[in-house]
Amino acid sequence: MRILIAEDDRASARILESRLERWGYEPVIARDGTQALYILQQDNCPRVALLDWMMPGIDGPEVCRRVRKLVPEPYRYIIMLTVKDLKDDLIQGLEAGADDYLSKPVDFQELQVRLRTGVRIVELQRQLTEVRDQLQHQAMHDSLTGIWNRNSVLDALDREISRASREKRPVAVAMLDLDFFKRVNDTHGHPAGDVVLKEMARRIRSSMRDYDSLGRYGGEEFMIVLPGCDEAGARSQAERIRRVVSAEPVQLSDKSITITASLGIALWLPGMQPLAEPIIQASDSALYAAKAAGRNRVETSALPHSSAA
Amino acid sequence: MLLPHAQSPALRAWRFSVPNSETELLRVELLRRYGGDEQLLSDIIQLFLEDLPGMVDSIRNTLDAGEQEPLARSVHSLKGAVSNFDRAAAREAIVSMEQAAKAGDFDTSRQLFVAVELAMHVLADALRAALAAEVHANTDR
Repeated sequence: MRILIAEDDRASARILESRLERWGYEPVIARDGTQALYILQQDNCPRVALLDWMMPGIDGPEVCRRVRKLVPEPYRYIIMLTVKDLKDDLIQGLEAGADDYLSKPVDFQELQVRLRTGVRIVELQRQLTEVRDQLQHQAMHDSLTGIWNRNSVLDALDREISRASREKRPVAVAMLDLDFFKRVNDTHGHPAGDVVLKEMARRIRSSMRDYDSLGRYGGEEFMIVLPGCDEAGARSQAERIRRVVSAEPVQLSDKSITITASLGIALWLPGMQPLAEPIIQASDSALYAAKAAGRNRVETSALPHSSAA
Repeated sequence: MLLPHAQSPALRAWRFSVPNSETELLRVELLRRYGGDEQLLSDIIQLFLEDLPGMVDSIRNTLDAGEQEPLARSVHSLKGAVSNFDRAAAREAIVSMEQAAKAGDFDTSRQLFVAVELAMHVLADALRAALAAEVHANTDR
């Protein structure tokens, strides 16, 4: 594990470096507070730092304060080193955000034990963050396809409508439903249906722009949010997606099947109320119209003038 | 460097020479402190000896300029550097001067600086001797 040593006195830095190497750590040296702050602000910085109190430029407590303010995560465990030994100094150091405090000259046994504590806490924090991120990911994504779930894509639509309202730009919504999907499940079984859903999500995503959003809206229904698209642009995007869905058969374990999709498009235009619901309903109606007109096609909703502001 | 006038008990307390036996004692003590790592001991003595003149100059300059904060900071830095060698006499001189510097007492600071300079000479000589003894010991093997 890498550990930052921020120490302007070269001999003191050398001593710490030697000790840390002996204990199996990888020391990273900073010669002053500015350098230490720069290193601690990097994403891949050492997670444990030994900061000398008095350094040229920015002192240890100030480095600590700025790190706590600027980069709350992932947590940096900071041990302050100082020849200051008054209680007020200790309080000042801890109030600046230091986790621990060691008097110089450093007792190496004590340093080793305290470093172990720091490493343990940083590791614990890493595990907690990982679990939290996993939970967050699970809460926002569809577990089968890996794309956003219904709530997340609806949030994305709300955000895009708010942004479009500010920037006076259109937003298009395409609702996509796989045609005759029930037959896939009935004929080939649910595992085959899952394969189809995953493959469709992959194909749809691959044909979208980076800033479009895709979510699984229901069983075999997907919502695609297309910021900045007018009617022609949205139609062109939807056609491309429709084509990619049916471009090649989906390979199942024993055979391959061709899937098609119907899409309904609705537009939010500047001047309309910044609400998602009417647009969702309109895209749903357009999808229904596409199904009614024979499937494997794109239909566009009449503009929902009734919701205009 | 001149010998100071013995104006205060603190100034009279310093010793001015390092007997050969003390050199060996210092080396053994420091080696014990640094886990028997002769290379490390040699490195830190050399680094300290290289940086010491600059640290002392910094104290002198801030003292001459009458800058209280920078003076206190410079003395503090020297205290940190010296603490690696665990020499009570050297450390005490610096601690006294740091207290005077923090209090903005330039007269006392100037007087104590003489003691600090002297203590640094003594320490530097002792460390040089310890370094030479170390080289000697290594050559003898």
